Amino acid sequence: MSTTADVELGNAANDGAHGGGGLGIDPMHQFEVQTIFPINIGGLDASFTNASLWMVLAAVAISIFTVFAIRPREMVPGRFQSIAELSYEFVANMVRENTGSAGQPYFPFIFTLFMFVLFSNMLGMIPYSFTTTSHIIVTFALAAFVFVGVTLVGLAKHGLHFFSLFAPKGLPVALLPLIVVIEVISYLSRPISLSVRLFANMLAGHTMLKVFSGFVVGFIGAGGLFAGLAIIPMGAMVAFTGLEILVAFLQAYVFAILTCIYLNDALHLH
Amino acid sequence: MTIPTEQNGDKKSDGPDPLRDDRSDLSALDAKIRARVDAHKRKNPEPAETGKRATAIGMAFRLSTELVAGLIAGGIVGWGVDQVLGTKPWGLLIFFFLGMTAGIMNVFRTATAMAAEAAQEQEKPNHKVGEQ
Repeated sequence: MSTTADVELGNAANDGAHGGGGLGIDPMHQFEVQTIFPINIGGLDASFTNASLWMVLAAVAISIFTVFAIRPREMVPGRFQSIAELSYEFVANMVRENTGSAGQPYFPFIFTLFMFVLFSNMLGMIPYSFTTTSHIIVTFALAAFVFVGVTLVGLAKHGLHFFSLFAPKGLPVALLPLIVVIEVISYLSRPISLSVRLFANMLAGHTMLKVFSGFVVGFIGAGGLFAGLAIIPMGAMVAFTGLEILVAFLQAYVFAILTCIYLNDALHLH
Repeated sequence: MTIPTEQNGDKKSDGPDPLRDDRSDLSALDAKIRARVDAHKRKNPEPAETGKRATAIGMAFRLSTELVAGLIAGGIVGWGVDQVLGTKPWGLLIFFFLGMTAGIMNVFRTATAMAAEAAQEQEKPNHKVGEQ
């Protein structure tokens, strides 16, 4: 893991350097899950970790934001109320445009999903924080929940007719078995693509930021003329931080809109 | 854009219909803002351009994950079939290729949807001001 990404420049050690390469900076250290207080349920390790902490923080932040932002209930909204109303409208429009009126009952779920992913991504942009969405198990849990939920909605609404989703109309009977198998695999690949996309984006972005910050520390550590060169990776970092904030929003948006599209497929069956 | 009616309930006695007045005022303002934004957009089209480039990265990433996800799903199904039926290498081999097919099909579908979306947006560029 630490071959290409490990940065060993200068003699600058940071708090994250541990064993291994001596004085290098490990850009993957930020993704380590650390136990805060251990919980053991019947031999199962259910400890409260930094990942759990930041998920709780995301949930708390969303609750505080949505509850207190709309507290004033002004006709002409203030800043926070405006943000809350905009995010509500943004998701409401997304649900309406992608699923029609049939998808309206699922709005609370999609809003929650969008806000959770958005806040997890954004909280991850705070230095020294932990990005929960950079762990595949977190994003896969979300995606699996969406996948199972959408499938159950489709089955509840259409019964066994739901499986016609896998057999496109006007297909020669000879091709049917092959196409059905491919369609089923394509359907099963949905939670994988949904989770891998979010996880890979966050992991790659945060690793890149840490690698560049390693360059800055290394250059300054080298001293003399090299210290002046630190401005180059520093500038790149500033630009990447902006890009990462965009990616954080965009990935939350993509996650929510794909959930809407999948829900629409289950509700309307092509 | 819903206006809370219960707040204006006590003021209703002032005029003929203050709520309607407010609303027409707001829509006039809305039209004014929209005209300004459109004029601004016509003068400097760069912001839209950079936005498009950012989503282009997103699109590329979406397509590639779609392909990889198909492969992984096919692999998992094949491995599962092997475990259940005991047909050691064949399930994985066959379903790997089927997964690849599914991945390519997904990429094709997503790309088609994206192209349709792009064509739709080009038809009426002046709408969707506040979107995204």
